[in-house]
Amino acid sequence: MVRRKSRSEGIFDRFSSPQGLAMLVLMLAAIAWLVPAGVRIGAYDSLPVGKESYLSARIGRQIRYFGLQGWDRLQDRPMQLNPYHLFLSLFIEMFGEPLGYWASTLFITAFSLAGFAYLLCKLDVPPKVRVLALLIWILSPAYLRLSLVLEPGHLGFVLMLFAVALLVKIPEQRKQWHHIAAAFLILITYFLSPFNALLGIAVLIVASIALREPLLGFITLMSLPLALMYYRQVSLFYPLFQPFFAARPYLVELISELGAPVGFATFGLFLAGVALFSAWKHGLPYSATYLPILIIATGFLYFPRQFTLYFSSPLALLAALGFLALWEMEWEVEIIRNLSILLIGCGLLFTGLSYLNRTVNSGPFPYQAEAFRELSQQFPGKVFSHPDNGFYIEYFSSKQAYLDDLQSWDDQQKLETADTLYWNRNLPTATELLADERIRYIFIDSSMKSSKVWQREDEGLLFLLRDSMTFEKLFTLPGGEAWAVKEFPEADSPQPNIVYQTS
Amino acid sequence: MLKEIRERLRNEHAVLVLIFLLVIGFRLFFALQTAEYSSPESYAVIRQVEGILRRGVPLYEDPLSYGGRTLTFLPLFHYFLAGLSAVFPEIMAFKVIPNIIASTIVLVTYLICRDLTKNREASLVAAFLSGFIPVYINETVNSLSIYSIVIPLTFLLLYSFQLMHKGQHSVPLILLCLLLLASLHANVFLVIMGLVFYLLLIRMEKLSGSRAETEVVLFATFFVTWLNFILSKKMLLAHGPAVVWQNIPPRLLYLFFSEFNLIEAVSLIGLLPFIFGLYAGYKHIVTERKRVVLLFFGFALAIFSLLGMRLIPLDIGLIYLGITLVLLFGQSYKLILVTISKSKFEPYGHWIRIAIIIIIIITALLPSATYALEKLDQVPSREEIAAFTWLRTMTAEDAVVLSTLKEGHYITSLAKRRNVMDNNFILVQDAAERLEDIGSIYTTHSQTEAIRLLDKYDVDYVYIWQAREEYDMVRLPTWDERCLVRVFPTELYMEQNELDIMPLVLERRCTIQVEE
Repeated sequence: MVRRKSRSEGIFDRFSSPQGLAMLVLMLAAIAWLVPAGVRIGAYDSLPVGKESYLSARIGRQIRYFGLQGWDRLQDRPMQLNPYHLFLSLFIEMFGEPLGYWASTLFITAFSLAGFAYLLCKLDVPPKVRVLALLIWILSPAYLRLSLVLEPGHLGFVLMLFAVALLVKIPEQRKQWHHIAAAFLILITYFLSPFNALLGIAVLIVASIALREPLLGFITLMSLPLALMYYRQVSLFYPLFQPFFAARPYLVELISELGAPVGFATFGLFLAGVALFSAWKHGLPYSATYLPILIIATGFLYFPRQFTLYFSSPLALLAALGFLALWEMEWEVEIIRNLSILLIGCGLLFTGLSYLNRTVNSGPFPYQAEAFRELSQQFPGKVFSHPDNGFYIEYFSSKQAYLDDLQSWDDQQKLETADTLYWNRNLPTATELLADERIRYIFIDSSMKSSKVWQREDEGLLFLLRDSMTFEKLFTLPGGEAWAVKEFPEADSPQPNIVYQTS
Repeated sequence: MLKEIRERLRNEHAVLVLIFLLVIGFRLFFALQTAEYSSPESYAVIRQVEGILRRGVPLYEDPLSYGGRTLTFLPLFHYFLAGLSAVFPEIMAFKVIPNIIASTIVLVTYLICRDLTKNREASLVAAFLSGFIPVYINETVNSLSIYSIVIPLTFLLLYSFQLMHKGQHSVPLILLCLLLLASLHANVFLVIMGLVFYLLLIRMEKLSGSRAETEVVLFATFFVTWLNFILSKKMLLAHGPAVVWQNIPPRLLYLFFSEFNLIEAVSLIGLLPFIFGLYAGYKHIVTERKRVVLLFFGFALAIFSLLGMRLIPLDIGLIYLGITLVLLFGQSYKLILVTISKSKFEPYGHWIRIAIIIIIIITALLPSATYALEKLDQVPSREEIAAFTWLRTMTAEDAVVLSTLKEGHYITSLAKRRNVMDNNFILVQDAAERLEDIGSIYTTHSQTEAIRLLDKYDVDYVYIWQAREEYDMVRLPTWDERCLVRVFPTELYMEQNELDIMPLVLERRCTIQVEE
């Protein structure tokens, strides 16, 4: 045992001074941001990843040009104020587009690292665990996602890290303002998403009980009506859990290697398991807070995407402890020990690289953006397509999308109409519906033709589009094709294009 | 002393070599009766081997399967065969050597049983029995099956693991087997599961555990998981955890992952290993707790669990189970020998042995021969080969040929033309739909519907042979000699009843046009 300890410590001591290790971590963190962001900027026309990024970008842009409003001007619908959109608009203001987007992801990734490092310091874990945890965090899919996607939850994650770090300060160092600052940060996260609100409330409740701090309890109680009122207001227009937050088969959402949008690394989970097992073997110090924390944390599994993002940092800490437990364990077969440790290291690295490769090479692609931008050249009007294209149409063409993934309660009727339009082969019915819904353009991409909507070339709307008396083909590009409805009453068009002056 | 050892070596190993040669002879007797192979998948393997020989890499972008698709598989087996076929003639590389490798299970079984029982006779009888497990013969005798290598390698891995109780000298062999097995087939997970069960059984039985074994199992789990994530990344991303079912359309799933049926299992494994194997298992779990036996018991438990959950195909599960039971049979055989030697039946010991050998011949050797003969019936007939040759020589290179699912590989490998579907479903998005459409084309009476579907897959020719049996039809209902015209057999005038028992190729000469 003694021999092993001296070896592991020896390696840490030999290869690193605290400054050297900090430099190493910072360098790797910078690379982990620079590589994905660089590839997207260089090879993908600076397009952030994921459709949800384009809702945030568009609203951020609207705030930048029209100020804070509770209204989505393009889609003509209520839009609750979200601190993340304000945050993004600040970056757009400072750096312009699209540099502002990438500056915002840099800010978030950098502060996530700082927040996690700060938390680890406050947890008073040994330096080698700290370094390992930070390295595992940098290689995790969650960190890499922060670099590529514009999502309100990402800001919430950073704020939550700092808030928790302020709350876990050792009693001698703890001051009242720490609690107030932590509560303030958590309160900001309330407005990011329902998940953040629930998580924030849970953290405040656990902290006020665990720290026996009446002020925190008071803030928690005061904040509850605020959150309730806010989300009650939101729920009047929108279902709180939107389709683009909805999960696919559960396991696929949890494990990165199975294709999860965030997901945990399998080897991270392995190592966390080893850490827990090892702690149990060595007599885990009991704390009354473990069970309630575990129960509350399990509840958040209902939101697998956010869960995997927010719980990747605790997992990184556990994985670091597990890695050290394996390192310091008495192994009987030396070669197996060395191979196992090498393998785990490679496993963690490859999970990160594989996730990086998958996410960086995902949509939207420049050729898709080009097709959507082509629409912006047309006269104003509403665009009918698949809801998956909604945010792209709104962002790139500045035209109203008939359907997008942010669906209000009223959109049920629209979904039914869209279904009729997709499948109907009766021209008068289709033209009547198009006129009623004031749809001027139809945009179809290849994925819609290959099983997302249709299976065959002559199904439903695809068949009707052959009627050149009713529809006019505007363009065919690799990213999609668009038609205009010929007899669109132009004078009645209520939808002007919103033109932004780009700085 | 030296003389005695030499004598013993000579006798024992001579018998073992004799058994080995007998098994090879048995296999080759059936395999060399025909130049063709009994499974369509063998032809797909040969195509990949040809690809490797021509370009140095397998055909990951296959222009023929499903009319053009991306394939993903572990290529080590194909490279191995390509290496063999570069050195040896085809018959040697694809028939003789795979059968010799499959026969090495006899040697591995002997080694395991020798260590388990410390009894020569029991080990030799078990080795003999392992060479004639009907389901294993059925799978590997006249097919280019990866299981010819995977099965002996799996048990060699278990043997090297078994040797760990003697020291750590077997660790390099374990690592080598693990690396090869993990690079060959995903069934290596079965071994891992078996090893985990073994560790659990040891704990449950409160036997002294070896730390080195735990370390090896831990490493094997890490290694196999990691390697599979890397090698099967595309599959995992496309199908998620459902990749275990290989994206097989739900309608066919029960055929590939059929339910465990005891009678069928006994007939495929052999009566003797089944009864004796279970007895040995019972004996060692309930009365004599023997650590090494638990290793194979754990492995059998893993197979049973996976078969029960329908996570591995039944025939493959039964191969593993059959050999595991043969290993346990060795234990039972030894117990019988000991019991006989201590009983009044001791003078009749020879007769009892002869009776057991006769039972082995009746319950293992004869069924194996029957299965091997059955396999020979499954090779493509001369008429089929003629039809595929005609397709290869008389049709355009980019022609699409419709066939049944089973014949899909024949179209790509023997006719060298594009098929609509074959039984490699991995990464295919519309497998279920294609299967349904193929059924509709063969059975519909509406020519418009048939032509619409033929248009959908750009089909130029319709091949009719196994479809008759599969769709219970004599003629294609929409065959009218105007839109669908017979082009093979080439004789102009043939009696209808003559045509109804021959492979046919119909050419599609019309299409559906929608007026705009």
